[in-house]
Amino acid sequence: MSILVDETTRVIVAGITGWQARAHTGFMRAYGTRVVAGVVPGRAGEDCDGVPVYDSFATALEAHPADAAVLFVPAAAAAESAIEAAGAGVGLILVCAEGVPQHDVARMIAHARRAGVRLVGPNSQGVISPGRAKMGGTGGDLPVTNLLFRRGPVGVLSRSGGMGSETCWLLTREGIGQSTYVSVGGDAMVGAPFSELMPLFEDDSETECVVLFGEPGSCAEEDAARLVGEGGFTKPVVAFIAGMVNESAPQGVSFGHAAAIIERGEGSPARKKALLREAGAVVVEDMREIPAAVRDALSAGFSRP
Amino acid sequence: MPRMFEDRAKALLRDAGVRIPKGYSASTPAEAAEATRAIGGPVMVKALVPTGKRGKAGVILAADSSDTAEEAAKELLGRAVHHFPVKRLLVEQKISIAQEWYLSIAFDSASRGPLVMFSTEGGVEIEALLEDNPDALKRLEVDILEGLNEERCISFLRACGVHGEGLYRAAMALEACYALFRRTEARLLEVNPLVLTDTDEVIAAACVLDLDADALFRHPELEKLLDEDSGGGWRPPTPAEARVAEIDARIPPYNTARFTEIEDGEIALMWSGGGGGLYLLDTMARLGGRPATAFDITPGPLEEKYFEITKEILRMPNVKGALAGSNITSFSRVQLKVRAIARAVEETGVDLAEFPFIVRFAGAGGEEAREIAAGCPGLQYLGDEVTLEEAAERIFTQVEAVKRGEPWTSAGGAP
Repeated sequence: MSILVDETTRVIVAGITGWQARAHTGFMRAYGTRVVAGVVPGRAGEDCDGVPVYDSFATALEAHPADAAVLFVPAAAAAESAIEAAGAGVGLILVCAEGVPQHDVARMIAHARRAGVRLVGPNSQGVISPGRAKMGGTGGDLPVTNLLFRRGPVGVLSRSGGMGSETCWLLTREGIGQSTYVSVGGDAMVGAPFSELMPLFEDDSETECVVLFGEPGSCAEEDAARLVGEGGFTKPVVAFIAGMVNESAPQGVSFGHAAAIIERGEGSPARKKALLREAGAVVVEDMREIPAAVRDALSAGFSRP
Repeated sequence: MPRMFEDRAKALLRDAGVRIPKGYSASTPAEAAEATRAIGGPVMVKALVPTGKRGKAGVILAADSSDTAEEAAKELLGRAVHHFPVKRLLVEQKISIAQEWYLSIAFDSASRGPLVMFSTEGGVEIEALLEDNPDALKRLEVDILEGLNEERCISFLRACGVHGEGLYRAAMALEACYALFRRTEARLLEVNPLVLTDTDEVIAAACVLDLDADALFRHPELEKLLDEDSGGGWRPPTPAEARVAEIDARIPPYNTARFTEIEDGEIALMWSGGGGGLYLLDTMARLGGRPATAFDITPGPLEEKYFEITKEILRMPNVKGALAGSNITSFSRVQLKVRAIARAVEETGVDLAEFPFIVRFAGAGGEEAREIAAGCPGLQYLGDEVTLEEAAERIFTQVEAVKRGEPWTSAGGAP
């Protein structure tokens, strides 16, 4: 098994005719993802590399039942597209755009919540269940995807798209595969923070351990620590938190994502690490220690392929 | 994030229906004196700078006549707060305070919606409030799809301990503030203190309005109200940062470069990706290395811009080595960056025998990038044979060797 996406997931691509979206749709299909339709307002009836294009999610869904949507639309249009997808009842909405206005982010999350659907992102690089299917940009073309990812027992969640891939690569080069990797998005507010995805890994029989790549700002790691501490997640957790440098930076300065701001004493990497350790997670200080920590966590029942 | 200066933010508050003290902006001592005469009575003279804690910095002065206001203005104009020069002042009526409250509206990453925070013990910094009496700070989560109506404002503020005639007026102020927060698509609206006067009026005595840079395209009318230093945060741009900003504004695609100069740095870091850049800075700090820059650029047709900015970096006098790269990329064409670097090295004539320069790129375009690097003598190309920590360790030891007067090749890592 895996979470969120697998080879049976039927996917609609919003903004499919853009050059980047078109390229990624090609990579997704080459990897085994079932792309059933595209949605681009004003482009109904077109065919995009063999994928039929519709004006709206509603009309696309009439012809092609779907489980998920990936939105390759620009930041300014992301909210309306996500809200439309939620209203049409698409169960999983992945928002890739970076720089979505924060009021729009809050609106799209609120609409998804109200519709009872899951929203991943914004500012997500994608979701991949290695060897099965992927949504979004993560991995890119087949050779790079296969360099970075392989199928296995580790669930990976990251607030940084690039460093999430790098985390998977560190595992893959040691022969340790992943069940699903989710780039949850680099913004302070995201539709599916760590603590909402970890229960899916808890229920996933293939996942034996979860790796978190955290950053300063927001309460994502604090909430994950609380979930583990309260027994809501019982599998081993290995975590790495970037951004110690922000703690020694002058007040108000931040490096990295816009969300990576330590505000009002909250969201500091030191506090996140302390809370995760207190809850029983293994927190490593150097990313290169992740594979060994994962191997220790997997210990019994895991054999290197 | 762009911070609107207090005089303009207060004008927006007033237009939204929140009472503010009578006041005028002033750019000269004479204007400050004139403003004081027009107000007629004791005034506060406030420096307009894009930073908080102005009271602590001593740039809010009381004056009881046009003469003393002029003196206060003379003292403030020409001063700097956190390196920001004071160019404008707000002269406003001193109000009689019965109670000082704290009010803010911002987004909350836990509830992922607007969060109102209120305390009847305002007038001090939020950090002090949280430290000294966290229970006094009350929170109201707002469903952004429902908004905030008068009844909810009243019941929330009553629960916060606001009573009497002030309750109704405070609720109207909160409702208006929330409407302004939404209409301007702000990241933060803070009114501290929100004052209850001894005649039961509710007045916004000070405020902070931080806008969302990502939403400004919808608000040209707000963008016009921003000051030159509004982008600030912690200090004005350094000369190198100003030059990079100029390049970013001149070469399309516009507004795609993020560049910070770090004081007393030695190693230029040109690392793509927010998380990776952060981790590289961490790794440098752990090694004891001194980063000179943090530079990231949005993927796309970036070669010309990357070329111009790399030249700026190579010309920074204190920089003794450079590390460019990213995590293994899925899509961005890394050969564009490596070609830009090779061109910048050639044009500036930097001798890479004395200036170690490592690029660590892998993924899409990696093989072409490696070939381009091979054509640039001395440029060290590393792919996925090393982790990014190993690349960081290598540039650190090479720069240390250069500082000792030894060739960097002695430190290992020669191609």
